[in-house]
Amino acid sequence: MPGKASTITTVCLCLAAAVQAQTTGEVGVGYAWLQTTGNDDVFASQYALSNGLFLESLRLDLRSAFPGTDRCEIEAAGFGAEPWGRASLKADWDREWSLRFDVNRREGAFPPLFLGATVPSSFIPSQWHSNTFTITRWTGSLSYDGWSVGRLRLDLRDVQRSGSETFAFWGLGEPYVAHSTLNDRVSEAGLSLETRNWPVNLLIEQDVARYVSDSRGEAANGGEPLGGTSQYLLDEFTTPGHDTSTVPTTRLAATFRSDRFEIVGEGLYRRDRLDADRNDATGWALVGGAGNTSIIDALTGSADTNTSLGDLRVGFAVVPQLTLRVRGHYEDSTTDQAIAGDQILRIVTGTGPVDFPIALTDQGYLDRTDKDVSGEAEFRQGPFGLVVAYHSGSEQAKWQHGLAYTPQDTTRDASGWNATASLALGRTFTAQAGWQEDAFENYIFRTDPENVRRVWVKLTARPVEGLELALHGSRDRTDNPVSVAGLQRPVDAAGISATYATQGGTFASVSLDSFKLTSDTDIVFFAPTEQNGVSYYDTDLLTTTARVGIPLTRFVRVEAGATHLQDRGDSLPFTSNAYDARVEIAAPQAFEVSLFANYWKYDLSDSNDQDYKVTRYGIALRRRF
Amino acid sequence: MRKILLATLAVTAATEVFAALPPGWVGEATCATCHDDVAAAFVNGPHGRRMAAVGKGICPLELKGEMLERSCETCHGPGAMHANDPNKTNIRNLKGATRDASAGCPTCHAAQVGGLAMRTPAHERAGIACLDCHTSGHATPAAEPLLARPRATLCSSCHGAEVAQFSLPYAHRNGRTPFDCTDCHSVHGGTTVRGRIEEPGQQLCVKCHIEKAGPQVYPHPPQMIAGCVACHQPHGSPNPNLLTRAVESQLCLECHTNTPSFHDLSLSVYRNCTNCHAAVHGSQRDPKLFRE
Repeated sequence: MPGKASTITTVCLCLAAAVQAQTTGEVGVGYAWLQTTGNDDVFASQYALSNGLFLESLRLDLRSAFPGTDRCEIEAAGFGAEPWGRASLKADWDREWSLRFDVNRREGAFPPLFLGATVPSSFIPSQWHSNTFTITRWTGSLSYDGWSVGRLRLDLRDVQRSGSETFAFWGLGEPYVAHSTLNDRVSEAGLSLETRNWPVNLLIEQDVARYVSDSRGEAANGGEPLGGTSQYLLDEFTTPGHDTSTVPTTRLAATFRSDRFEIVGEGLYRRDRLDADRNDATGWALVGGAGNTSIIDALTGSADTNTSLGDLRVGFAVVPQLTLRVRGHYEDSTTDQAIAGDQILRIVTGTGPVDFPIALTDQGYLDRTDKDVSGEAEFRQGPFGLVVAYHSGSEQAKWQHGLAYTPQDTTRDASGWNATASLALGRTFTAQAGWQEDAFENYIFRTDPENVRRVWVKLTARPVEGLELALHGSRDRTDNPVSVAGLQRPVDAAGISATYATQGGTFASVSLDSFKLTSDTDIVFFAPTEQNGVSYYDTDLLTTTARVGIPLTRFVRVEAGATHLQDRGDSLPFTSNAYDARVEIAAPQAFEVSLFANYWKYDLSDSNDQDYKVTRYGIALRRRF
Repeated sequence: MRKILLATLAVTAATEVFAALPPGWVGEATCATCHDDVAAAFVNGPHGRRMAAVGKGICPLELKGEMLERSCETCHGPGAMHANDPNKTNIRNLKGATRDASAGCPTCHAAQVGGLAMRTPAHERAGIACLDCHTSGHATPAAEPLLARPRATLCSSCHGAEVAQFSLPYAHRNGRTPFDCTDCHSVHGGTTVRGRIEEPGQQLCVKCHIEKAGPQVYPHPPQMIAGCVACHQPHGSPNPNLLTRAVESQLCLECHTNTPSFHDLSLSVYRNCTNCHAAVHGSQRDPKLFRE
């Protein structure tokens, strides 16, 4: 929280400076209070909101502060009591240079009792199962557009994942718990040159990314096993280790366009090199100080992936109404993995340590080759449009997990047709309908489908100015035979919506959506003897939403919404409601005061331990300048 | 009559001042002599401001800073005839089908629209045109870039099923609101691969979930072959890990039909496979994925 407060403070100071510089824009800051009854951990894992200050919006146009810029804008929102935050800078100058800078931060948490109604929680007490993380993404680009023949662009990216995880694992005959701090980072830079006004335009790009992971672990629960007292205490836990991966990528694309032809070719080569060191130990001390037992890893692993990709697309306008297209795609990826070193069982007694080393050498591979060709014809005449397409392809997957494992090699073939028809009667009525049917041969995984069929339709009507009525429906069927896995995955979705909006800012919308999904796969399991069963997931969602926004007077505007969600499926039936309301009141000096409130209710039908009711309310102050 | 006279004079002046204008074009200033309110709204709106500031070489017309001057006729067609004889039949009316109204967009937005034609994503197949989602620039957009409505509601009018899944207990959310669809989806049809910045298809997830990118010494083959969606449902799930099953063990058992018999599912410890096989996304040391 101090970090959040400092962030908000920093932002506010920047705002003050910006206002001083006589910029234009707006800034809004809010404060929210949260009241939870029920399982607040579950709410936190779903919405992650908290009490406190947050930045509602920041939008600054700094062109007057920086003369000579064609564009200079700063935007930001979130942070503080919000589990996310986003800020961006967009600057253009001399009609040649363009700078983009963006930071995006997101916090998340997993509920401690995530096993919920499906598994008794007694195995792992809730406090020993948590996972909180923050992902921060910085991206930026600088491009030079001053040449008539091309554009030069530099892309930068830095992504960090931090947080902590408490988890259980199976130790010396009993479950123990450990704590791990997360520390993953990717840094990347890419330089590209894109030509224009040439007969054949080129895109040349060189990119390199580097991934580093330095997560660290330690024993939790004082080393005690979860099952109670034991003669062994977990006193050492330093997993997992240090991983680095370097990934250079080279990409070349060429485009030719004329009145009737369009040809795009693309090639890419990428090489991933992973080095993974595992020099760590998991140790147990014998209660009473009589000695300890450690499993020590002194291992070095590596993996090399080479990816080659080629893609060619050709479009030909036979006549203005008819366009033919063909596409060929090839991708090959080979990965070779190796690991070498020692795994040592170390037993320390009063006479000193005794090591039992096991030399470990292993290697494996995972290769994948995709080939696909497709062709399509597009016909458009007046308000009608029709696209008919066919594709045929194959995917070969070969892998050997390690020397002790049986090599796998499967080539899966695929072919299919699809068609899409559209009708547009001005803006008054539009209709789209589609059909898709694909068939596959051979199976890489037993859950792969053999047949996929889908039909869908979408209708939109705008009978009067401001009113839009929409209807959509789809039906998906995916299956494979009982001799493979008896996969059955029917999905039916349908919905209607009506939206009315006026130029004066009044709007109202209602929608009703139904989403039914059933997914069955035959499985075999032990309980405690071997049995045949079905892995199934069944959801039957009915979502009803309503939203309205009304300017009551010149100075007061009200906006409110409601969402009712009911899952009537067998897997995890629940009901949830969400309501929100906001009143915006214009005040002198371009200020605006807003009062807002949210309410969430989550009710799991088969259990009460995850239910919650949450009220969030607050005030926001916004000023335009 | 006075406006026609002004327009005629403006055409003459424009022809001299903007000698680079194509035959039959008159320029924005001429249009503004009659449509002053419309022209002012456009020039001061986000589209007009952007056109005034756009890079020298971006537009294929080689406008060298005159892009704004051509803004009206790029979409509405050459205006000389209309300026001399103002009526609705000799200027392109954009109140008809959005596809016709969008005809001028590729003049400058070739990368998006030209790409559409070649890559034929679902939007193009279904006849979705630029102005089905974007505003022309005359009206105030609801969101960037020139969107007619906020992103979430814009997509939901057609993709209601996907939006409904975001209402499930666990989904990708920014606090109260779901992720923007365009955080993951390329609505104009994407390229194939761009280094790690844009991963192909199902590997898109590693843009944020960097630690899952691999390669690994002992990978979990479904992740590397079928992608993250082999096990996860990114739009929403009753499972906190966004699994395609509410119960983890059922998902694992679909492929792992040959588990040793001591995996007794009547005992709770075996109902959550990752209790022991914690490195389910791949391990750097353990072929059975016990440890990372």
